[in-house]
Amino acid sequence: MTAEPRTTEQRPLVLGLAEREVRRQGPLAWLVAFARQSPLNVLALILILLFLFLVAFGSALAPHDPVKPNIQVKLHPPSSTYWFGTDELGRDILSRVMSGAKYSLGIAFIILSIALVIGVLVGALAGYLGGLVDEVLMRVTDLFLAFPALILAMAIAATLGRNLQNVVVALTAVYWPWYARLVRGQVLAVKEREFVEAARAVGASPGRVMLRHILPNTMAPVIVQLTIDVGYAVLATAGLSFLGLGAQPPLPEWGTMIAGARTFFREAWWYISFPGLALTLTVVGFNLLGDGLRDYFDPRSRQ
Amino acid sequence: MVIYLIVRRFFFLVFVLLGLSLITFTLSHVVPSDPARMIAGPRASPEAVEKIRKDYGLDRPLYEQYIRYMSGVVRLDFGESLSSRRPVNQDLKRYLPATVELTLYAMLFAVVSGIPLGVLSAVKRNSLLDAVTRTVSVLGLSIPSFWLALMLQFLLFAQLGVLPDGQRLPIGVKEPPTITTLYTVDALLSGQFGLFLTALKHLAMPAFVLGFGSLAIVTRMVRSGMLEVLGQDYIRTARAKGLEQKTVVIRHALKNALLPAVTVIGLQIGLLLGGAVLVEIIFSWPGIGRYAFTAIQNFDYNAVISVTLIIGFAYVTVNLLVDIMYVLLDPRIRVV
Amino acid sequence: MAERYPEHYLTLLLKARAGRLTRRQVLRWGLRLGLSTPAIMSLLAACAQPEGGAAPTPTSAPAAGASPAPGATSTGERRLSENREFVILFSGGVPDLDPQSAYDNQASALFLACYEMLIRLKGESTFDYEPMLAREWSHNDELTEFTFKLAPNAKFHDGTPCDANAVKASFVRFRRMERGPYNVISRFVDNPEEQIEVVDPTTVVFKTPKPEPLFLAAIASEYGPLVVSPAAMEQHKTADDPYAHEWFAQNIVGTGPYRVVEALPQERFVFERFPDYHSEPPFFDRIIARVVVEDATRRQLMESGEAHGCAYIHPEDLLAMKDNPAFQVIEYDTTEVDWIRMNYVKLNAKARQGFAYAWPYQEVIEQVLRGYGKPINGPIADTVIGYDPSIPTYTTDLEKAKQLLTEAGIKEGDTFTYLFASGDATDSAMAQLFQANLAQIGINLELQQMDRAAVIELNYGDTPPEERPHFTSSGWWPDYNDSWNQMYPNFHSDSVGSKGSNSSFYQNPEVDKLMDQLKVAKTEDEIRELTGKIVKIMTWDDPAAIFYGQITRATVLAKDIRGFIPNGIYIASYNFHQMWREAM
Repeated sequence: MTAEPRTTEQRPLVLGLAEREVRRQGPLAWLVAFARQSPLNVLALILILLFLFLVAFGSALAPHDPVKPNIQVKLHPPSSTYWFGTDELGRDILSRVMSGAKYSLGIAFIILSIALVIGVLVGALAGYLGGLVDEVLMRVTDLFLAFPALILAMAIAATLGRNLQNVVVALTAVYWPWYARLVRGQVLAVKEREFVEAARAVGASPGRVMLRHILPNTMAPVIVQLTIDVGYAVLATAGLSFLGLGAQPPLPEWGTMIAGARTFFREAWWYISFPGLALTLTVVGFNLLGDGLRDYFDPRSRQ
Repeated sequence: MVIYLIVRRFFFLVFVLLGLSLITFTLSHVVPSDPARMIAGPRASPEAVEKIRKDYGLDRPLYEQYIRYMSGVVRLDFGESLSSRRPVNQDLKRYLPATVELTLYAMLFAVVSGIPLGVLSAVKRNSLLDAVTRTVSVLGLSIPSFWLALMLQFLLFAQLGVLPDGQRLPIGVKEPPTITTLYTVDALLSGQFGLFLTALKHLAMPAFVLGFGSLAIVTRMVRSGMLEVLGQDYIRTARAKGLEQKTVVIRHALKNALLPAVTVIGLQIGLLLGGAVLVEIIFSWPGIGRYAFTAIQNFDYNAVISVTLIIGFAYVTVNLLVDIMYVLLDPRIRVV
Repeated sequence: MAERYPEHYLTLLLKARAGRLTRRQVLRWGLRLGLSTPAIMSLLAACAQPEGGAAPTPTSAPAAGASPAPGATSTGERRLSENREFVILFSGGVPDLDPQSAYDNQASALFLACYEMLIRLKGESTFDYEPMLAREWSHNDELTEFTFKLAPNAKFHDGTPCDANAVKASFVRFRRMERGPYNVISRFVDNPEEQIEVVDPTTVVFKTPKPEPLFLAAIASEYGPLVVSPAAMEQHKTADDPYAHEWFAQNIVGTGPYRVVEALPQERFVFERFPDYHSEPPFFDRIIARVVVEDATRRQLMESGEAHGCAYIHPEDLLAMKDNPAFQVIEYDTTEVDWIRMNYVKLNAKARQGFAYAWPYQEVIEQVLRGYGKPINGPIADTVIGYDPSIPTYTTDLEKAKQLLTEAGIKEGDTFTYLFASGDATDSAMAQLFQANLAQIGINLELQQMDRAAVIELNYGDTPPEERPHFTSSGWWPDYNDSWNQMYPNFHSDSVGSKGSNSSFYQNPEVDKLMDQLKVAKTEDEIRELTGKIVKIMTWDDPAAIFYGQITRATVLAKDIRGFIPNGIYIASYNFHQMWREAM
């Protein structure tokens, strides 16, 4: 849980087929096909669309000011005015949960984007060039993998200061090696394939071969992994914030809210329940999507 | 093969430990902070602070401090903790067993319930049981451990009062004599059955929370492994030969499906050791995760580096063991 | 049997003196032991209260309603519990166990179990004293000579006697080691070798060059003037560490009623009754102090009955626990004032006045502190000598704040920084309320949360004032009942930056001058006048901080704990030697 990302099944995916399907059908038709495969996929899509919607419009649609205290109504139980109740400063928890999506989820996207860029760069170089470069890069990668993730993240966040930027730095340091490893494996598998050989044979430059022929064909497992990791990154961000190392008050980040609720949860069950529920549902959404995608891309499970 | 693996891994281990110590050391020393001030306390005079800085060698150049520290580590001397004022060794001796015991029970829970769940859910694919199992495993991966821990504390301790809220034993209860350092085992070995139950009760909630994620992973691994194996020719053949379902499942399918599960279980142990921080904090569990967290907050360099090294060491070692087991279990696999 | 009388007699006498025996019990025990009539009469005289008195006082101290009706039967007999273990909870670790070096109130709470001052504050009073290591004390009329008569049978936990020489050696160590709270002694004793005289094995005299009306107050402080074993110091000192501080930081050798059996600084401390204690043996066999960092867990441990005392409970939880019949919530007024320091270098006087008007005073006292505090007009609590009630208190006035801030040259949209230690729900709530108030007048407040260690480093380290935040949440109470002792380390220009605790670099020449006069003030009137002048400047003319409340503290005890007496100077401490548990 928390910062430890994978160790879910890591078997290499056989691709090509599914990918070509997406290209042929167009994304919308593909979505429909994907949703048809399993009701769980539908649930995943609904949850993710809901939370993505909140990332974009949560703050704007919040019924109350998520930040401004209104201490006269502190720790108010759920009611028709405050659907999810209020916190110790009288702020509407529904509004805070809604506008918190962009911190909890948004930060996860940023972390994974950066981790992906570094991971792809390192993994592609190592896999393509091989030899000493590969050895050095992969040993450094392994070193970071051996680091106790949460402790590394805690040390970085505590050292650099408590805010969301440093959580990004800390968790990027935790996540990039996984992508480096994954991409390297895929590059190794793809680089000897016929179409790559063919491209080389017609005299394409190494850079072109890499960008046009190898990398695109390594992306499907990376995408599956990314989907699952969004969930884990959300959990890790919230975990660090829960420890006080991430988002600072009055930001309505979900982990920070749960930490704040700890002092009051005996008297106000709603305060701790709703941010935790939002967190869980977000991660459920991405986990289900990841599972769905894996099954979808994996021909073995399509009998 | 195994020898080669071990030698290679040994060099890697040395490399990892050096790397970890260097990174952590640098990290903790670029902090614009002054542990001497921390030791001296808020109301201390500048002279007192200066004196402490000298006493602890904190006024020496960084590389000198690093070399001094590492030459101690080689002799298994991790220096003195600045916040507990005791040798880190002593602290580790005290806190590591708590984490190990918690991790073992978490894994035990994950394995004992994860494997049967995975098998049943694969054999009865698409049944109600399968749906429930899959839901549980998705939840296991999705629920934030700290939130689950707090909710359970609220429910099982504050509301129902059926389980203690944390710690290894109630305050004031005497610990069992140290034999294995694991309270439950020591209590049994010394014949204190009541104490064993008490310790077990204290383990229940934290081990469940910590193990829940692993349970999900183990279940999924076993389920998908079983599905794959059950679909293969030799199983079909066995079935066609009229072998009983139970025999097929246990003798043929499970054995083959367990192999990937072994890897995952091994990896999980390595990860849990370092991942118990949040659970330990919430359940006041006196383990090294909590120790590391306190140390980080107090700029207690020696303690932070030591914990990082220990967990890194455990992680690499467990990985090695898993690889060896893999080679032994499945001669087809060649480890590069 | 005859020789045993004196011993029994002594025990009975001590018990009677401590108010732990009723007259009837004394009579019964005295007769049973076959004591002579005069002896019994003298014992009866020692009993604190007449038989059948309305509310028998549990201890020798006048515990004016502090502890709820003690568990006595109608005859005044105590129903003592079989459970003689007392478990208290701390909110953080205690890494330094050297009483002449450690300077925080959790450490001193521990020290009161195992170390002793010469005298201690009596009951709830902040200026009356009672015996501790010294049985009697006196001073000359000029207040330049203070004589202490020690308990003749006092022993350290290492078995060595605690005589006048030991006491002197301990004070020499305290003064010369110059660690932590040594200002408590150095103000009065600069040359301990000369100024402290050993008259005979049980008599020690402190001489001061000028009259010192506050000497007894300082000597009763729980910060520093505790007596440590010189024999242990000799045994464990090294060339680098002549006072054996390293050893004392981890070991305890005092004269107190309890000796330490286990010390795990970040986890727990276990004390056991010291059999050779020089006074009446305390009730509890064992005292366990447990470090529990999380607010919620401390409350849970109290509720599960595993812990029996905690002085660190969040106000919101206190309100809930007050309704729970399993607890006594003992509230007491303190000498602590909490404040928000304002950076003197980065904010001019007008700006500081403006910000002081923007603070949400009423909301903080009522909704955040939940009544565990009251408005105050400056750094001096109304329980401290020198408090001046004529100085007005700020109330929130955003219009006025805005006007003053504009005059100070602050524009809408300007951003200021506010630092507080992480993990404190109260601090966080206050900060956010202040932030919201400022937002209403167009000022941004950026909240910075840091670990306690980092806050200490930033406050008391060498960081120049320009790099420090605009606002820092903090608070203080004096080591002893004295306004100078409260203000000097915090607001004198001698104490700026790493030289003391003046972390906001407050430097007002007028205040400096007045404080120097206050230090040598001879009469209470003089102290009042000077303190009033200083407070007026620091609150209104040239504000040093937002003084938002005088703190009310609360100690939560299990319902069967008796004899606890809170004290506004010994904040969050326990009078272990007088406490007991009633059988229920």
